[in-house]
Amino acid sequence: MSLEIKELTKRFGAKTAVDALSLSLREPGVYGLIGTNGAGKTTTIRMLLGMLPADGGSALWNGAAIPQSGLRYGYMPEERGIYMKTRVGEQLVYFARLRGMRKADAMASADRLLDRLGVAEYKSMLAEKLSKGNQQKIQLIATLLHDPDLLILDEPFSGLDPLNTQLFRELIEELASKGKYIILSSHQMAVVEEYCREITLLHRGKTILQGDLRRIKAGYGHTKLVVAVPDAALDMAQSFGLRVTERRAAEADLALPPQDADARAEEYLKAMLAAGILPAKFQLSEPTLHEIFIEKVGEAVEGGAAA
Amino acid sequence: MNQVFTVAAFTLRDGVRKKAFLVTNIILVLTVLVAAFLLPRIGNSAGGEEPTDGDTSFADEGVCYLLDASGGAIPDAAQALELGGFSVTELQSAAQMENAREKIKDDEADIIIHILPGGDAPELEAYTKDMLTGASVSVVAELLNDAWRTARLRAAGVPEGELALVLPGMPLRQLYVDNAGVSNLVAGGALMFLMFFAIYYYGMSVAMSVATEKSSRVMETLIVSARPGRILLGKCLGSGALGLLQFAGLILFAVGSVKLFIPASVELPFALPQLRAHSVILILLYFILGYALFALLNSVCGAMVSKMEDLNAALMPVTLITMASFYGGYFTNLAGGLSGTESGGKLTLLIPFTSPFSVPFQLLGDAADYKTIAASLALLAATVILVAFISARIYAASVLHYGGRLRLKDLKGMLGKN
Repeated sequence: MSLEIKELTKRFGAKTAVDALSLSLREPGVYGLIGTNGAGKTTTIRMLLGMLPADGGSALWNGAAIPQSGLRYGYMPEERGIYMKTRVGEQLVYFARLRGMRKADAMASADRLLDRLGVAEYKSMLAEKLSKGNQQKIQLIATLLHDPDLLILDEPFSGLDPLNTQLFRELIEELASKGKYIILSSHQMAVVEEYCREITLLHRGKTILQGDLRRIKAGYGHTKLVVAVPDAALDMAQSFGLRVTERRAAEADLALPPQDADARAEEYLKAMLAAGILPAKFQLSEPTLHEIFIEKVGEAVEGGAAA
Repeated sequence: MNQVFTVAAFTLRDGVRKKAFLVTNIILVLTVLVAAFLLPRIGNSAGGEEPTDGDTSFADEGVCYLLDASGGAIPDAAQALELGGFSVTELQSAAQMENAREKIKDDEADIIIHILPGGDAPELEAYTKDMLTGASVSVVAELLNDAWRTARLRAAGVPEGELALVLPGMPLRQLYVDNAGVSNLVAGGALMFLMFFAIYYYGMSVAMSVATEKSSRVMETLIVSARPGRILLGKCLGSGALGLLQFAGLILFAVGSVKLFIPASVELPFALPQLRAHSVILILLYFILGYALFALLNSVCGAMVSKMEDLNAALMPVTLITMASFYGGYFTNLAGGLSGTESGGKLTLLIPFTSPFSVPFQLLGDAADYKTIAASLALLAATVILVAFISARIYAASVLHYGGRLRLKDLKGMLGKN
């Protein structure tokens, strides 16, 4: 199975919401679709699901156009949508039946997932009685009821407490390990960084960064040094061209110069050791996705302003 | 079709559970029960008091002005009217007529009788306030005719004893063997109202359902599960089935209540209409098609708004069309009665928006021309298909639009792209 998006374009009047987007999912796993507000993520998803007609390009599942019905995909929209005045179990069966499941299978699947997400006790309750987090779980269950092959999750973690976030994370890991294709659209870079092997970063409809996340980060090299050292050692850092960017209680972040970052770090370590300072922590790291995101979007904004 | 029926079944269940449905049913059931309690009383009083044997007294018929310009062609006219229960004031000249007219206008008198010279018999003119009020002209005519004939017979030398054999005339009580005309008029009016409310209410419930799903974002979950056209069709079907069930249930309950609670001996002001099987089928067909037409129009309005508070404004054009169609059909049918021959009435049988209200009215009176009904049904069905086609496209194009209310210009653009 594979998902292939080629030159997908959508225009609303004079504004190009998605500009010739191409990406592919050839193996099961989690793919990150990230971007600022209004970057074109939801429009891309809607085109992918046939909810919006594209003005150009194509989206193919296993080499064929994605059919409106028949494809086993699940979509969890950014804004939660469940029937507030309807009992949880009843609406889950309804959504599953719309997906072509028999009633008995729908009920069994709903029971299994309600149990898996720890909300079985709410099955007979009206959805409006549930907390926001539990309503979100019901929405996720509605997405997974029919055991979809392709999953599109739009901001699945927004509004969740840490416990429920962990529960969702475990479930996503489990789905990926079961061979599901998952597109994860999120503002939470730490989450994307944790799960996504590949990403596409959109800004105002344009693709400004795309590819294997590890390679992207490796391409930046080591840009940051995290140390746990006495203050005197931090003062030494400046003489090696290292700049303290953040001090915390037990450690500090140092920015490495883009050129010869590793050599400068090595010289700094040697100097500390020569001075009899043994760092409790000395960790070279690549930039986080968050930092890359800020940098790339900043560049795009500057580029746009210059143009 | 499975998805259509799944949506329809869910919509039906959802509708049945709503408090509004329960409250409406309670009100309707209570209304029927109250009507079943009151009707026998109205029926008994509508018959009026029956004259008893030997009772020669007359009710007070009112104040009458009499102007005899015939030179005494009816010699005992004033006495005859007084015996008939009128309080008579004789006018001496035509000039006093104007004053008498003013009295009638001010409700101080009921009738002016002007006796004019004629050929073989004098002529009568009677002035009353309007068509609906004033004394009974037929009663006055009968009294004066009796007086005139009596005078003629006396003049011809008929002995008083023989005159007494034929005068006064027999008391008359009017009874109806078949009250179908009035019954069908009442039942037709009631059916029109019921159909209007069912079509209007359930059509609007489709719009509310669509708008609620859209504003609560359930639509995004639905739209990836089923095609918009199927959702729309299922929704209309579910709400329509609910309306039909309630409509049929109410009629059955009303008929049952009449049979059960009103004794057969009670004379009602109208009888239950006797419907033929094909009329029932046609009424059902008109309900379904009429409902479909208005529900589809309503669904488009629901799909065009993002917030519930915008729904009323969006529904205004459809509400106006529904109201105008109902009242247009109602008044033209009342004006034309059950004859169906009035040109205005015929037009409302053919116009797809008015025919669901007008044709059932005519069918109850068994006055419908079946060629007209065939043409009307064909026009209505064609309109429903056309509206369904356009509505499904607008629905699909607008159902995921969020933000300001869509304008016709926006819709045109969206339809072009779709």
